[in-house]
Amino acid sequence: MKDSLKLSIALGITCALAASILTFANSKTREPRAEAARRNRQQALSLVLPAFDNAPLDDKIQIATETGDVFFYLAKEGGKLTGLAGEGASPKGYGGQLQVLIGLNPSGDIGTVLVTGHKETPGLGTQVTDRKQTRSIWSLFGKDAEHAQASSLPPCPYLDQYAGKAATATGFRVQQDGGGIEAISGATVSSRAVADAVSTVSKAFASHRNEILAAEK
Amino acid sequence: MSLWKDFSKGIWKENPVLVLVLGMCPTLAVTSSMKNGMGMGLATCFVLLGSNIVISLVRKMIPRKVRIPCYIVVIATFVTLVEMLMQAYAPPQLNEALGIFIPLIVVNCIVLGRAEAFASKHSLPRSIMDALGMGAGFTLALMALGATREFIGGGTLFEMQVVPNWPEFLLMKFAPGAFVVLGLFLAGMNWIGMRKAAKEGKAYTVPAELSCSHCRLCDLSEKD
Repeated sequence: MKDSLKLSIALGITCALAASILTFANSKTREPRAEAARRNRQQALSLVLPAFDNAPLDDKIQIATETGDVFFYLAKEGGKLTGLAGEGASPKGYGGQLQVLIGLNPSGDIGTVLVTGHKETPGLGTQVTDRKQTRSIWSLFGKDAEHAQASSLPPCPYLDQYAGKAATATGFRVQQDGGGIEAISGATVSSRAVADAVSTVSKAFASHRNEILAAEK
Repeated sequence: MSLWKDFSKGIWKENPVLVLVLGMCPTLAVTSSMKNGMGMGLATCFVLLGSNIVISLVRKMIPRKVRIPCYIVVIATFVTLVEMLMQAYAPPQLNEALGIFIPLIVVNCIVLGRAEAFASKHSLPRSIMDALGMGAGFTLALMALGATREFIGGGTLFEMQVVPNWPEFLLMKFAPGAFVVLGLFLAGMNWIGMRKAAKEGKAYTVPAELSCSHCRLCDLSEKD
């Protein structure tokens, strides 16, 4: 009895110490983390939006849906809406939350899809979330500019399927679920999660289209 | 000399993947490319170093009977800390490349294994060398597995095309390929061990590290 009390106290102290260290680190890093997240979002926005002269990060509309909030960032040039980016998430990823950022033109056609936050398995799930480019190793030795022009937006066969499709209220599903999106083998769960996140944004846009476009004025 | 041995044993003689056969979950999952292998290896190396330092420092304060839960708390704290610090201060490219590996480290038994088998019994400098050696051995093994799978799978190395028009071999990119390549690597290690033993005129025995009798991880009833 005395022994188990001693052990409980030792374990309790360890946990309390760990908790206080984490609390301290959490409060210390909260602002730098938010700042880093803001920078990343800014960079992602410039990839999916057309040219703009406003600040889309501050020009946003929040829409509450059953599956969480969706944000629309508006890109304007000379006060006129040139495009918008929808940000939504799905809880169905293999490692939990998966967040996407989708470029849309004012008539609601999907452009570039980016996965901006995820915890999928490297090498498997990341096949549908990452955009990467395979270059020839010989280009490193060549003097030509081939390796200099590494695109900031490399292709991803899975994500590029959404480009050109209209954002509708029905959303998107992978073929296994009776939809038209081709899932990547070995990454079906991740493929589904991306389709789910895109659907969330797509549905939010379709059902609040007038509201969002009215914000132009 | 002894410090150097603590370091070098992790790379070959007690390589965590190829000899101790620890950490199979991340090994099989992430070695689809050399780059992924390196990312996982480096992230693990970092956490291993931190946990070995902390555990070596507190090894005399923790009662034996509750040491395993205490180690788990220390490791989990360290992983969370590393994740928060990386999100806050690391360059975005580094965070993007290594960030996804960090949650996987919590389930990596190399970290707990080294805490129990080494750091809890040895001094700080030796524990640091052990962590660095094991981390390096893990990274090198994952990179070798990743390079093999990536090359056979698509003719690429480090996501660079080495042989143009390589016929894509999908098996290598998925889990079955990981098992096949790992099996061949383990067979290779055994073959080298056997040849070495034959040269010295001895019978080949499985390294002591492979039998679980040296590890007291499950023996919680032990007297303290």
